[in-house]
Amino acid sequence: MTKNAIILFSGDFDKSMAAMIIANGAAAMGNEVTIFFTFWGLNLLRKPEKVNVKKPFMEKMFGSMMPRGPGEAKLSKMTWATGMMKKTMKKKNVMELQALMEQARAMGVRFIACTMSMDVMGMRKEELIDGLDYAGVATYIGAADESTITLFI
Amino acid sequence: MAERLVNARGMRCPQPIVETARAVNAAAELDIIIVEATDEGFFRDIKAWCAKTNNELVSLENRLGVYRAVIKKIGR
Repeated sequence: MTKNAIILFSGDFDKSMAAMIIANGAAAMGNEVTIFFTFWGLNLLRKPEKVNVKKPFMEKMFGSMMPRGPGEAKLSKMTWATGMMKKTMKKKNVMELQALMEQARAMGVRFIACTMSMDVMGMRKEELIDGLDYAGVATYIGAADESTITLFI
Repeated sequence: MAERLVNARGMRCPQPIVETARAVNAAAELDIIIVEATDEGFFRDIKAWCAKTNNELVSLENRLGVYRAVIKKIGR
């Protein structure tokens, strides 16, 4: 089976849309897709609600300033126009980011959260959506080595 | 041999391909799946999809802006 591996580093709305469209398309082509979420990309995996976990002040601060889930992601350029862009996309019948993420998983796309980044950003498993795999760079390289396409987004 | 129509009109990338994959995966060998889409990218995408997944693209036409693909499911 053809395999594809994507590193989702950015977490920006537009770049995440691109990653999810590629992942959904690849899964529809019958490919086995792995997305490795790291750094800002991890924010896409956060639950939309605030989860109470004990953590140091700095980590708490960081957490409160970062987007919680795909609904809070912003455009990488013209950040102020995020709402306008979302409205336009809806009007043109483009699937929402959250829905694309759910559909990707339903089609068997594997979501991996980078544990080192989680530690740095002060994110706990309880704050992230269910059903993720947790791993590090070796897992990504293992998947990427067998992949025909690897992307860093 | 069953025949199924997938209405992907108004859907945007990647939905027409996702819906095609869903329908073809659920079909039996040699079933016919007809997909109608309005997204312009679909015209080339469906060729790539059929080539990649080894299904037969029986016909593909543009009927006044509606792309109509007739696909025969080939068992993998």
